[in-house]
Amino acid sequence: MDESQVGSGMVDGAWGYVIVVYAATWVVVVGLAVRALLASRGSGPASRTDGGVGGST
Amino acid sequence: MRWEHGLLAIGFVLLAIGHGMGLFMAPEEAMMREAGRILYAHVPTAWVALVTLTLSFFAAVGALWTGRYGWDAAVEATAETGVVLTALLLFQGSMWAKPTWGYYWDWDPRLTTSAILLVLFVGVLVVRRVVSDPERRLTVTAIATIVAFVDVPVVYFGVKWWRSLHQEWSSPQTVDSTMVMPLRIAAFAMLFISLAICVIRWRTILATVQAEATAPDLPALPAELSLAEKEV
Amino acid sequence: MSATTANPSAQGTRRVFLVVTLLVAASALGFIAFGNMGENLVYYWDVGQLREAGDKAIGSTIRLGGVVKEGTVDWRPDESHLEFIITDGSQEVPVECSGAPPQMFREGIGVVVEGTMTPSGTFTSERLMVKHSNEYKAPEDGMSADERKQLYRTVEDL
Repeated sequence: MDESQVGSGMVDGAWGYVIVVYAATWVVVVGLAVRALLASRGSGPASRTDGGVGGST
Repeated sequence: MRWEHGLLAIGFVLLAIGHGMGLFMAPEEAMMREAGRILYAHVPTAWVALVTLTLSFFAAVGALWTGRYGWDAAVEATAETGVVLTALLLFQGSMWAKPTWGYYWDWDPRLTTSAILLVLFVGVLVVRRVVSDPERRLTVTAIATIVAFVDVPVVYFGVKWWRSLHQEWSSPQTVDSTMVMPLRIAAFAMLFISLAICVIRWRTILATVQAEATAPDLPALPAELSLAEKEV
Repeated sequence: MSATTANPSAQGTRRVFLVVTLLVAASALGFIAFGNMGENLVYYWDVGQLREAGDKAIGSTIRLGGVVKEGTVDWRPDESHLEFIITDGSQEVPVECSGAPPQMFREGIGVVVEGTMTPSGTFTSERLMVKHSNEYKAPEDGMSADERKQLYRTVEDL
């Protein structure tokens, strides 16, 4: 019986999934924050479609 | 510096602490081992995604009741943040499902209703882009948001109502005491970050919406003009 | 001048929209929650339901959920063939799976298998999913993963 395949009931070698999940989480929240901050700097009565980057200041 | 910038900074500090504790200090899970650490990323994201979309619902009610563009902008700010968090939680969940359940995805009630939630709120944002008259847009977005929100309690309570592959709610009673603190810190961190981003977005969106709504008698024109300018 | 509020003369209409939408949303939610959707859209059958269906269950693709009965797992890695008995505590169904099960698979854990019931009374499946509970436990004090595996094997042999 191959113990590493069946019978142990434990997950081995899952660090890769953990790293991917945490990396994705940080990329998304930092990305959301940076996007929001960049757009808020250019806002004011500026155009809706300026995307915030390089908007009128 | 506004107060929401401080909230955002506190949120990121707490997230670093919560995730650091979850990754390096909390014990591995007895059977899931290292894969159990995905708990501290996935569960807070899911909670906060549902909280954010619940805020969309209340903003939509406020928008229809008062007609104020402040509520209208809040609907967009919370819906767009909630959509991104929902997409993130689906990705995190599928990365957790593979090593534990054995598959990235299965059409169980919790997963299916969560995927529907993403589609519904993407629909809200699309509808909002399509309608250019600010006044009609306020009404249409709010109605679409209230309809889409129906799925939020379904996602949350679905694991109680129906059999699913997804586990039921986690609580301090079902989570080892050593794992509760990082989970709690990460949950507050995600809540603060999400609220701060919603407020920052709300200010930007409100300024834009008010500028559009102010144009006398030609409500549809400014949006189309600026779109044309951009494409040239 | 900056507009903070949409045309006030349409305020009554918006409030009517609000009330109607809330009513529609609430009834939709009520239907989903308290209607009999759960009976028509069952994610998996338990062993009792499968037994109740009898011959009607044979042939169609269904999901079967239950617990892997202790002492019934037979895994043949060279053939990539897995057999075990799935139980709901009182009734049982023998299951045959092809392919290696997920790492979490063990005796006594909840599983959902997707496949078909055969006339011989065995459930054949090519998709075995491990159902984890909402309990997250720390390992026993001071024991490494290898020691825990060892303990588990020891307990299993008793």
